[in-house]
Amino acid sequence: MAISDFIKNKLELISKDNQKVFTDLSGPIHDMAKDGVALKKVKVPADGNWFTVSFDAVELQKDRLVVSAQRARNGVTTAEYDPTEKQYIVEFNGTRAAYLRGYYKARHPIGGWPFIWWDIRSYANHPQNPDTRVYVKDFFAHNEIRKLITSMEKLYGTSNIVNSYINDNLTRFRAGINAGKTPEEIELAWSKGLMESLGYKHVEAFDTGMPKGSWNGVSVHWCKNPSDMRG
Amino acid sequence: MTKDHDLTLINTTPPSNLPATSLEDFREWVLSDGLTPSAALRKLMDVYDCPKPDSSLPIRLVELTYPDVDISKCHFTFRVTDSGYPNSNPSEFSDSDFDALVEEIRNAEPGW
Repeated sequence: MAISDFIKNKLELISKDNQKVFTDLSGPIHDMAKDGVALKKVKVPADGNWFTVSFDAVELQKDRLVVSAQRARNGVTTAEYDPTEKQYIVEFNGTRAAYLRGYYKARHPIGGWPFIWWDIRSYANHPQNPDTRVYVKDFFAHNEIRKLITSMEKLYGTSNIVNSYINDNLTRFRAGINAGKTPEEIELAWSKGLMESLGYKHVEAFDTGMPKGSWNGVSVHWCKNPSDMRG
Repeated sequence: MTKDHDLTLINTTPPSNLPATSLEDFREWVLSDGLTPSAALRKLMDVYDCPKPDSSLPIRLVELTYPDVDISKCHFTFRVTDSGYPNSNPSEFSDSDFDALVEEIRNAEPGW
């Protein structure tokens, strides 16, 4: 395929992107089309992690703008310095636009039970424009979280999960509160049945920010046993 | 297009299997010698010839040096991982940011 045809086809694909996320990249790409330079690099904006991809790395996957990257780690791994402790890590060579890290702790300071938590990033977004998102190919957050929970349960037999929110997740939660929804309604909507299908049918959220009531910080607790609830 | 895509190099190397003595050294440098966590980490990277450790390394060193801290607090793990520390751009997350974060987590109140 001639370079000009390749670029034309790529632009047609990009124009079908329902999220309209390509604004920041359209300039360089049109320059490429004009210049006929397929190997020119495109700088993709990400939170604190600008990364540069070759033009042919950008593609569409299920209406998401994605870049391809190879998984460097993809599951349970042994914690540094402690061979008895396991962590769950998904990460990619060359980018932190997507990753997942799951941890275990033997005792929650308030609940008293063992629990797991995780850190996740599922896309890169522009610091000034959070609607501009670039995902990593084949990394779908709910699918990855399902595998993490299943693996950590097998290792530790946990039935409690505690996560605190930051960035977009905190914004999502606060938007729900401002829309008059309860914390439980917000989290069940986020779950889309994922947590319930894994047996975590009970959820509560705690306002950890100051002043109270503004939900400047949020910790979410999912559990299998209603007796573990504190709310 | 099947060739490898050219992504800017961001270190995601696996844990480095450092010997247990490196943890003991780190503890001593911080708790006895008074080095800041970042200075002790830089010294460890130098002494053990480990110039590009994964982000999990500083997390584990802090967790094991201060066993009473709750690393699930203050978004500690997320902030270190997301920044790619210690090899990230210092203008985005620096040694002083890391030291301040360690102090923040050490002073965090127990709770949710």
